[in-house]
Amino acid sequence: MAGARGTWNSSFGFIMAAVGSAVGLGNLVRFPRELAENGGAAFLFVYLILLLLVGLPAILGEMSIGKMTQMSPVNAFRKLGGEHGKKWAVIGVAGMLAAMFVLFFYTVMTGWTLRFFLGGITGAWFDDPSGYYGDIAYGPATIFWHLLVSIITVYIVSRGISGGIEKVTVIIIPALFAILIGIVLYAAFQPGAIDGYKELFDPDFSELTPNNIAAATGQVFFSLSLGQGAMLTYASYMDKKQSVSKDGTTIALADTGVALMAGMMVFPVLAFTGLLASNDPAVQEALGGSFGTAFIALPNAFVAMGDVMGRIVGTVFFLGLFFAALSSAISLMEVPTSVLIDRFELPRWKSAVLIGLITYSFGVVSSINETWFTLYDEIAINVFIVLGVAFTTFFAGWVAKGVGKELDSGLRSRVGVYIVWLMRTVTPVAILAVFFFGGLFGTGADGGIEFWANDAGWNRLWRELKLGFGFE
Amino acid sequence: MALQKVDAVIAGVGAVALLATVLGVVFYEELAGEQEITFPTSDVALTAQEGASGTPLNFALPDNATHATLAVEVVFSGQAGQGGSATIQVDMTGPGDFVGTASSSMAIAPGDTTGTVTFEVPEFAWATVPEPVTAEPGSIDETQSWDEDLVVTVTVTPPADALGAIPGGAISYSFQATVTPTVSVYEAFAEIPEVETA
Repeated sequence: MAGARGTWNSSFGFIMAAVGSAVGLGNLVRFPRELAENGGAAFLFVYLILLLLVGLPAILGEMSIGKMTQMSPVNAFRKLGGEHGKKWAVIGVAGMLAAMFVLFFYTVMTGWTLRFFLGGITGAWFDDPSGYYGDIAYGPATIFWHLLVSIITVYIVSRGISGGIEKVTVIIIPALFAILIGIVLYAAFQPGAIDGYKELFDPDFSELTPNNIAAATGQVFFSLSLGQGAMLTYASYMDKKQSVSKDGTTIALADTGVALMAGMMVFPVLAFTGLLASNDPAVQEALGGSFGTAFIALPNAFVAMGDVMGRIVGTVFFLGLFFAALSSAISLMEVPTSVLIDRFELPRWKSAVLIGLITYSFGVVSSINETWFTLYDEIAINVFIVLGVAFTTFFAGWVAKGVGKELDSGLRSRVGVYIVWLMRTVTPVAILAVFFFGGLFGTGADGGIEFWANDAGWNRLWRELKLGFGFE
Repeated sequence: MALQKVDAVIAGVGAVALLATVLGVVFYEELAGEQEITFPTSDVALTAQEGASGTPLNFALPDNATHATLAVEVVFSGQAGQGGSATIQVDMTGPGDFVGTASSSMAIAPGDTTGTVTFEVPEFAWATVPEPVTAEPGSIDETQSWDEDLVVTVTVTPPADALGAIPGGAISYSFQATVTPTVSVYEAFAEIPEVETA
């Protein structure tokens, strides 16, 4: 069965693909920004605890379900759900929808990274980085780049697990690591870089508010690409001899390592180029958001490095960002593709083309309309992903039989029972707490916690729905 | 799903994708969620200034002022002979070398010693309000700052009997002008609602 679906050629190939799935803009830009804003080393300490208590059980649970069944999400939940399998399959459907909703805007964003990479080579954004982002973010030309990225992604997925996804990710993920290490080392030796490290790591325990802890919890499972069926799907192609516990832990640690390296790249670069201390309101506004940091603040920092060095570092940075985004897009497309292959026994290439056409069609509107771009994002995060990861972990802990044994396989010590206990208790409760707390509460005008504040997840989603459908 | 069915589904979804692309390119502006932004105006009265006939009066202009309406008051004091009509000329210069002129008159009866006339000089314009723009969520800033002042010179030519008047004699004309500009100022900054993407 596994042979017909395809398997990874090596453990290394699987880990590279899974790390590629987990590592995206969230690691490279969002994590460093949250770390710096929410207490530095204090936030990191909480993040690592949450990674252990929430992230690790969640990723191991998702991977166990995939590896045990060797099936795509819908069939996997159906099989392990026993006599109520049809009902439990809804979790798999939700994961598939989450992956598709993310793809509706993710390929558009991947197109931005590709254009910034090519623009770095030609120098297109060097005169006016902020204006360049404004010009390319949305518009008819953006549709073309969204189409191009969709075609590339469909092509790689249609080539299969070892012949497409593994072949590409074993090249681009090590390349991404090399790029990150290169820029981290370059930035470390620049005068003024120390201010960036201070901004990033200076511990401030007063920042550890319930809101920020909720943000850290959210960051843990967004960062690990959970709740979208991606880890489950990739694990379903694992060889029976591979260890879920070992590989899952490696993936979680690599994901966190990339996020930390990204912080040690982004903040020193912003510091030594003077952007971090800039009083320019436009720069400060850009630094307040992930996209603003990636596509406005950092390009301005590269320009400040000077013509030659700035162009080299900027081009290489956006190549890395493109690799990170592409590898995530591939894993997201593999989820619904695998469902079609398993459920309807379709040829892989036809499944990939069909999913590619659907996600491309829905993505056209996010290529030209920022409101819809954001709406897809909000629906995926606030509905499908959070519920998906909570119910998947609950399912792995309470419903699926044999998860503990699966987690013990390949290990000398028995850790499965402890991880399953976390899956049954701490992990789903923490995730649901984030779901309700992050959805209903946000930061008020006075900086305190406020019910239904502007940045509360469901308030954002509600506003986007009204905007998207023209009621506001 | 039979393979033939799949091919039909792929063809159907492909047609939808093509249609979405065409609609996206052709109706981009309508679908982009762009909004028409206009720049509302309001009137701002500047502080009045007074000076003798022929004295230039300088008014610093606020940002985004486009035109002014002047309330002019001319006060005569002295001793008219036969009197007659005094001619009032208002010369204006604004930013960007814009110049304008207007005129009026003041009737002075024989033997008058004082007199007042007020009139309005409508819409001396040196700039225009920006045209409405269609824009995506974000900020629009169409601020125009002015380095040059609005300069108004009110020159009064007395009636003909002043021509033959002997200096220090009985007939004398003196004119003071007070100018109060009201400028039209537009709102240059517009925030189009935008929501932060996570």
